[in-house]
Order: sequence, then C-alpha cells, then structure tokens
Amino acid sequence: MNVTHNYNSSTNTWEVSLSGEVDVYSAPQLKEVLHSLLDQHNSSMIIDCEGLKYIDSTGLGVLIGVLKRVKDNKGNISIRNLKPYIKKIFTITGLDKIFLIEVQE
Amino acid sequence: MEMDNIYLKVPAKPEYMLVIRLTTSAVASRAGFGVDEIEDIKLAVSEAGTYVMNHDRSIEWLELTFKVDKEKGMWIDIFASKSVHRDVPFFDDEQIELSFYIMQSLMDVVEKTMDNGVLRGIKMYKKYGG
Repeated sequence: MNVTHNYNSSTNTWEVSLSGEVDVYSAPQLKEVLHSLLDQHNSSMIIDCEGLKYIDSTGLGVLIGVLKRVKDNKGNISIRNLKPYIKKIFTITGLDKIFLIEVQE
Repeated sequence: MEMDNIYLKVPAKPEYMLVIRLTTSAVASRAGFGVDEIEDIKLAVSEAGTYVMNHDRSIEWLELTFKVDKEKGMWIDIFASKSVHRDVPFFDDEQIELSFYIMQSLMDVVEKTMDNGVLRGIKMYKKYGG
C-alpha cells in the first residue's frame, strides 16, 4: 500500500492518492497516515483510488472512522477513480451513500 | 462427481493474508471462474481469514481447503488451528459484522463452523455463474 498526500490551501482540501492493497496488514498504517493529516487540518478530503487494487472491511473501517471525524467538522470525503470491482464493495455495503463517490464520465 | 482438493496452511498473521489472496485467485482461476467471480471469492476468503483472526490473537495457524467440483462450483473451508476464544479484537464489533456481511453478499453460502458453541472457522461456497 502507498499513500501520497497534498494539502490544497485554495480549496482547504486534502488530496490523497491511495494505491496498492489495503487489508488487515496495511490498514493500521493507512489509519495512522489519514488521522495525522486531520491532526494538521481537519478538512474535506479527496481520495484518488486509481491505483487501488484491493480493499477489505478493515480498510473500509479506517475510511469510515476518518469520515466520522471529517463530518464532525462539517467536511466530507470524495472518492474517485474506483475500479468497478472495488466500487461494488462500496455499493453492497451501502457506503456509496455515505461517501461521495465520483464516477468518471 | 469429479473433485479436486487444494490445501493451504499459513501462520495466522496479517502479513500472510496476501498469500491467502494470491492462492485463492490462482485456485479460482484454475477452477474456471470468471474475472468478477474470482474477485468476489478472493475478497470473501480474505475477509473470512481476517474475521477469524480478529476474534483471537492466539491462533497459530489458518488452514484452508478448496474443494473444486468442476461441474458445480467451489467450497472453501477456513479453519483456525484451535477454537476461537474472544480475546482483544483488532477492530470493533461493527467492523467485524461488516466483514461477515461482505462475505454473505459475495458468496452463495457462508456458514460459521462451531466447535462446542465456539467459532472454529468459516465455510463458504460459490457456484459457477453465481
């Protein structure tokens, strides 16, 4: 798993790129990185998942926890470029209604 | 009924979930499942391994058996090396239930295997075209 991030001060938004595989092994690392970003600026977040190949319930749990914190501060999380088989997981768990899932035209 | 059995035994540690996923993908592909079905099976099996591990950190091994019925589908048993006694879960109850819900959504059959009322593993089935 690899996470890169940039804070866009003009939009007050974290721009995060998530790639590789997120599972029970790597989810704690993802949790640490994303929460450390919110410690700096608790703002909305855009997560680009173009390079994301796999995510399981532990990874989704991390994203839910981060979303709760962001929403407490009136922000939101947008997720873009999900591969169809990963978007399916967001759909069957109902998380597509909680996160802002951006669909490419 | 022609049936092939494949066995995998790995340490019950998070870093070996990748090995479980790679093996599951290879077995499902060899069994003749399509790309989308392979993704479903891979995630469900990985969730099962995580689900069992999340209940008890003292489990030593995870043992997986893939039973391929070339006419109908594939059974997968994910067993802990011992009965699972609730210790300190890696993640909270809400997430553990999310994990089980994902398994049920992706597979045709998902059953907890109990040993004297205590979780021992998970058995699941995926039929071709299911």
